[in-house]
Amino acid sequence: MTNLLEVAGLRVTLGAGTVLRGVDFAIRPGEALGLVGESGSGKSMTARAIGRLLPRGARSEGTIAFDGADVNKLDGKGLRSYRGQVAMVFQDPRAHINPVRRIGDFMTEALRTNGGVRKADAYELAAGMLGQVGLDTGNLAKYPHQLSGGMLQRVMIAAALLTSPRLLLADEPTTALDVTTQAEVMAILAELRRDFGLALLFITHDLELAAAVCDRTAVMYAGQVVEIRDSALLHEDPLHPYTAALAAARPDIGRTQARLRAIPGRPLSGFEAPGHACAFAPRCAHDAPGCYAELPALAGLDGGLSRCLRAAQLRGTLGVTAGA
Amino acid sequence: MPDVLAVESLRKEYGDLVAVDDVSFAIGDGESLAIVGESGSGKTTIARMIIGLERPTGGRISACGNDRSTPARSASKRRQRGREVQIVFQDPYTSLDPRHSAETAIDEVLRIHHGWQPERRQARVAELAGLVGLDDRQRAVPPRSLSGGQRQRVAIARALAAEPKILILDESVASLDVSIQAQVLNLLADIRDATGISYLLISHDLAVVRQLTEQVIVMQKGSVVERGPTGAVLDDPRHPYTRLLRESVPRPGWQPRRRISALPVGD
Repeated sequence: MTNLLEVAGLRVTLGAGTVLRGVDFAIRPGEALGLVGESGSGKSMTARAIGRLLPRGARSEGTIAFDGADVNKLDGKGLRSYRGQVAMVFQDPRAHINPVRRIGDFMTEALRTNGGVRKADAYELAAGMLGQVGLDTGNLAKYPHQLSGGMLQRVMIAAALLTSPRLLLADEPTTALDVTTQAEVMAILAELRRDFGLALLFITHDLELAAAVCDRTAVMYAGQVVEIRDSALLHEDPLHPYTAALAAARPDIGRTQARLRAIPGRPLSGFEAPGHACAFAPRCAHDAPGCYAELPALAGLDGGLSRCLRAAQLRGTLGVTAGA
Repeated sequence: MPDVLAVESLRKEYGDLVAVDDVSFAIGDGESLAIVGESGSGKTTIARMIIGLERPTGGRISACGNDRSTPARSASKRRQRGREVQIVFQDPYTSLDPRHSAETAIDEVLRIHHGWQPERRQARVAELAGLVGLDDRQRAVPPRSLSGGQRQRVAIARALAAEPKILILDESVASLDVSIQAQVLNLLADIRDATGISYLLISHDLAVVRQLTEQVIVMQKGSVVERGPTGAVLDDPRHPYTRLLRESVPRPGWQPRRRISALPVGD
């Protein structure tokens, strides 16, 4: 199957700093890919680059191809059509909705201005989509402040799906929500994804959440992807020491541990990372002299990808159960 | 074991809204208790009443045997309360004075609460900063030059400077990166071993609760719906709401269940 989205060698420079240092991944039609990382890893910047929403003054290199077309070369009609096919949902719904306009107004704006749909038809579509996320039609006449955070995030998802996109970029869509509301929103997303054949790029800091809801998970560190792995294998059998360390550092709901296996130091952002060494090496439990001498490439291994010089040597020793 | 913190029939009303309804719990010396619940459960309101930021509508709060249900009458009484209970808030970005370095922030508390001479304060600042793992540079710079995890260490050191018997952790590790969160949770365990302090942990994160506390109360809409030893409550939740919370935690093979079903079009 050909890829719906292909990101290759994506570098983003902001002022003097390099935020993304070469991001590579692909999403197949209908696939859910998790993009996991700590602060500064560049996961949100990656989503903004794909959505053509980079901050002013940012320079981007490398390619982002959607359905074979170079996203950075799109303009005018092509860009509008792209925006209809690639929808975005953000962490804080209240920051992305106009507080003085009604929900119905917000939801139908893209359909009416770009899709050329008549107002009455647009409202009917919006009402149907609201129903899909479990909200009744009466909400179309309401203002954002009258809805709870969880309801508003469901409105955002419904609005995002109205233009029948093929890819949804969801940047921490449930981070601001309570756990039970998060479960609700994730369940709705999973269902709509199946019904609409929608591909998903799910950005989160939560490795467990990504692994639970995505087909594959990509882990980012210091502006690069360091591992891509089938989610089912990520915890038991990770390919990169950072993924293993991240999974092992989380407290376990099933038992109290004498000590958590914390990762020493703090996460690096892209612009702090060394150019000719592994950025994670100083915090890594498996570092070797070679790790400080060259920048490892993202290389295939056992059906996944890992950016670690010692990945092959470390096979089978990194899983949570292996006690890394 | 004597209780260091006791809350009896605590109630808080905001107009018609009952934010906290008949909540009672006690924390023994050196014990740790978690209050678990979602937004609107009343857990933060309880913390704010304990430290005196909100006045209870009814019920009693006592810490170290001293009643604190009503506002302190004098500055010295307020300081005494500060030596009983301290709090670390969720957001280290807004809870520290932007102009104060870690050293200044900790020193201020030592001066107010202990009235020590500069040499003794300086030594204690170094001790506390060392306890939470701040290096020389981090001690001297304002909060804007520190990362989130480092700021939270400053907030913890500052709270400990008053030598409280109880430390309230109000979602104090929620906003930290996973790798840093583990460092801070280990640090909190070390501090408890070293000082015998009691924690009141307010959290929505059941794994963090499991790691740090022995007792837990589960709150929903202002009321306690379940309580008991943390391990027992999390492994075998009895109340439907506790079960729902437990099932909502993502894990391998997790299938989030949809509680709100799709509505027919045109409904």
